[in-house]
Amino acid sequence: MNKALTILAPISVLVFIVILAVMYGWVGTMDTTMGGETPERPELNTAANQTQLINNPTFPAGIGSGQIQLINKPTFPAGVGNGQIQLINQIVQGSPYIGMGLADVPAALSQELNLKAGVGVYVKSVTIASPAEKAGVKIGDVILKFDGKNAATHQQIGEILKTKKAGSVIKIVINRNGKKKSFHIKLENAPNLPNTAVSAPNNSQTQQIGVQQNNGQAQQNGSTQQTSPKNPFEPPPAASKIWMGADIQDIDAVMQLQFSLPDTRGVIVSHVSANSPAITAGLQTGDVIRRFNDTRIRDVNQFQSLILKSQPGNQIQLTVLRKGSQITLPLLLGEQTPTPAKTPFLGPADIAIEGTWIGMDVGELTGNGAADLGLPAGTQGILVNDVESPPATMLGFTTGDVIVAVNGQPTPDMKNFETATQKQTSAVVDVIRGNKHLFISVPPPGFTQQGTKINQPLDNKIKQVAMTQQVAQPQQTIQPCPSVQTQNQQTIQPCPIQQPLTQQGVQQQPNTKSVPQRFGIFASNPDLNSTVYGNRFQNPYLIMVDLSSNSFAVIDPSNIGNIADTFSSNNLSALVCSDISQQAASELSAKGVTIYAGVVGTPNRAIDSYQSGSLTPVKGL
Amino acid sequence: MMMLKFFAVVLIAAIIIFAAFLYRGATKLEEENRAANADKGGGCSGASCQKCAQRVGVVNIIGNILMICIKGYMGVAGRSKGLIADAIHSSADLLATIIMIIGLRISDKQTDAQYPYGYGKAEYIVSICIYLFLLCIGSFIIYNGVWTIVEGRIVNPCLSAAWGAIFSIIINELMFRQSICAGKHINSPSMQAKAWESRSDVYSSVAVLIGIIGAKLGFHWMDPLAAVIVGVIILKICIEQVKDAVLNLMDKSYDEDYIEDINKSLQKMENIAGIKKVVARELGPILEFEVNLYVMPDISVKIGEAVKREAYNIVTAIVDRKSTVKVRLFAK
Repeated sequence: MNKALTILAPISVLVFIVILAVMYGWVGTMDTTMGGETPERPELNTAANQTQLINNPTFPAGIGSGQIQLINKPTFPAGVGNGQIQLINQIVQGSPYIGMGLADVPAALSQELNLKAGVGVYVKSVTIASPAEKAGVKIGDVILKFDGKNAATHQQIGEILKTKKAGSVIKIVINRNGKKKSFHIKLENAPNLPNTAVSAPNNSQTQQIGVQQNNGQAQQNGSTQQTSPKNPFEPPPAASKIWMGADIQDIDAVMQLQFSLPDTRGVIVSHVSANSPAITAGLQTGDVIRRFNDTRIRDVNQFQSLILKSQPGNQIQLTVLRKGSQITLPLLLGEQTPTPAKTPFLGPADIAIEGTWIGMDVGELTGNGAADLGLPAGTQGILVNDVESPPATMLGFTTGDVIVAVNGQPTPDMKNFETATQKQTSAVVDVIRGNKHLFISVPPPGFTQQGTKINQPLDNKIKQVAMTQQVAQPQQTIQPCPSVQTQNQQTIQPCPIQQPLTQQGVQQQPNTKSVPQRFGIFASNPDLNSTVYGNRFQNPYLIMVDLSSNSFAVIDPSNIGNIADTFSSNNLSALVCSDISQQAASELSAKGVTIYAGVVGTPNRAIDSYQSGSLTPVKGL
Repeated sequence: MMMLKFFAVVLIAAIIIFAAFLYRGATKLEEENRAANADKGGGCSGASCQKCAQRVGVVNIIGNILMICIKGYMGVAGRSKGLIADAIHSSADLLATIIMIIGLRISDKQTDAQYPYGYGKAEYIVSICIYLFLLCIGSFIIYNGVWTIVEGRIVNPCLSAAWGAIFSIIINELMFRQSICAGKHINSPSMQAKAWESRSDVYSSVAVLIGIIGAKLGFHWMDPLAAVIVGVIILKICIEQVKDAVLNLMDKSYDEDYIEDINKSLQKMENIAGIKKVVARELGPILEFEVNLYVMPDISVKIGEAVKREAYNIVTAIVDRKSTVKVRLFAK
């Protein structure tokens, strides 16, 4: 026993030290922007561009970190409105009150939980301090049984509820993430307290449920825009509301970059309504609210609940981060009657498509268009006519959005819009939807400093690539060339690509610059649908591409050897990678190899971008 | 997440209880000390003191384990490089204590046919291995920390890390007070040395705290800088320990002062014609003396044996450590 202890004690301490040392190495590279809230976002792990983007603030310096050339379709889940939530909602007296918003189970979730069709009711929202919340019901639960009866539709639950009185206890059985749980809910009379619903992902985003926790939906400041599912247990909004008059959103990585914020704490003000308490207090668009009185603000939900605890007429102190310095604004909360929800946008037929941007058709907003949208006359902006393809579809743009500013630059007309969107950097787009402003973050549009014209774009590009990708699907079965011995690499023969890379792509590239025909790509896997890698933190495969013969060959990570020698012996004259170590870079450039660093996406797209000459080489090595 | 929070709460509770215990112990000791001083002007008061000295060792181990846990947890959860480095530093201290205990165990082992001189030196080999390993870790800490500063990575610790540092400062300071008090009490320089080690831990934790606060104020390089400083301290510990172990493996002579004292005392002995040589070496926790004395060639074996016994008594009286004394007599 003692002997074992004498051996075990130092060993366990040593193991502990090793673990600590590993953790030590992680700290600092660790992403500080994500903070504690890292919900399941499987996409984070798969899409390289995304991780890069989110990591950007802590991105280690080095070649390729300054510019991010995005060539993959961004699966960036900026989400609509980023957790913008209706700020204010007071509840009136009502009979049996349970405090859940219900909806039909989204198909995706139903599939995920293996539910039979027509079984279950989806909990869309749970009111804070309501019987449902007290019992432990959470957003995203699927109610299977309600008071002993199978629950199929939310109307059914409404019927059951009508027969109950406040004080009676109901047993419900729910399915949460595949596990069954039961709760007892004691019904209450609706309280007369200011209260709010924590909104769940909108139904229109059901495809994202289970993939991403989109913590909120765009709702209108003050009044419920989403009027459709009126169910008996969600108390109707009262006539009088606490009103601040500012739209707020959670901050994501792109916003952090764009507004050069130190971190993503707090909530950002996306719009300040005219004649509102907020504007009187001096709140501005782009301000980050860090503290409410003395409470630190983490996210929209928290801010909202704080607001709701106050009364109209209360004086509150907001600590606001503006241009790097903190200021404190006193704000007198007001009251407002809700404005009626706007009629949904049907899309005026006569609007010409004047341009495309990140996969949407856009046009200048005409006076008629503004009226159709229910916007105040004189609103100027760029109207989104159609959202066709990624990345716009992924970012949460919808038809009828009016883009009024990009990166804080107003876009009253097409000309301004083009200038604003030509910039290489990521963008935060100020959008009016309904009568509400929101910020939508756009990751770097994926093109280089040369910029692409709004009319001949990006959009085409991505479609082409999408086509290529379909064509290229069978390529995944291509066997990589029999492992090439690079110790004597003089004899490497690229093996032919079974399908031409992009026949159309090549032909349709009128602006193809003359680039060297043989070049290398660092990739995660030995195929063209993998991810472009770097060699600073990863061990990449080297894909050697010969454009003249539309062929490629792969060298295993272990066989690359001295990278400069490999390049010169294979007559490669360019390297495409996500990042590159200083040493390799200088060796390569000494051999005259052009380096394109900071590229993210698949090698397939990298090849396309390379061919079209839209990548920018790293200079000054 | 719940589990982690639970752990944190348990750890903090344990630390607070421990600190309270330490504080009480320290004040009690001080009182005793004062009382003892009043009685007979300091010095050891026998069995109760020994017990208290033993308790200091146990308290040190428990304190260090708690410290490592809290600093490791807070450092990782609070994303502070400095605090994690400090946790590694505390681990190094704990390892030193553990090695000492192992050394005691090993040297207690009886000599056998294969190792007729006993296992005393095993401790040094263990110590060299462990500290070389720690040397690597320390270098990694410095390298990584410097690189973090150079690359301008953002280290943004949260306040829980600062709490970890504050706990560390408090507990180390209390442990220092207790050890130094007990050390003075039983007049043990080794215990006082240990106490000063705790004090140096306090300073390194203060550096870490400053680093964390600096990082909170926006100087993001300060936290890794604190980590680098702690790394340097770890390196220093490692180098000292490895040097010590190697020198002892090489049978470095024991402290000259002791030898001189022993020489002086031996000279007063009767029946000897002179001192040829006194050498000493450390075998783990045991001191081995070789005392070579000249005697007149015509003395009887009986007198010779008496001389040997007397020499043994003199040496053991001067040295406060467990020691073996070999006395050899030479004819003048």
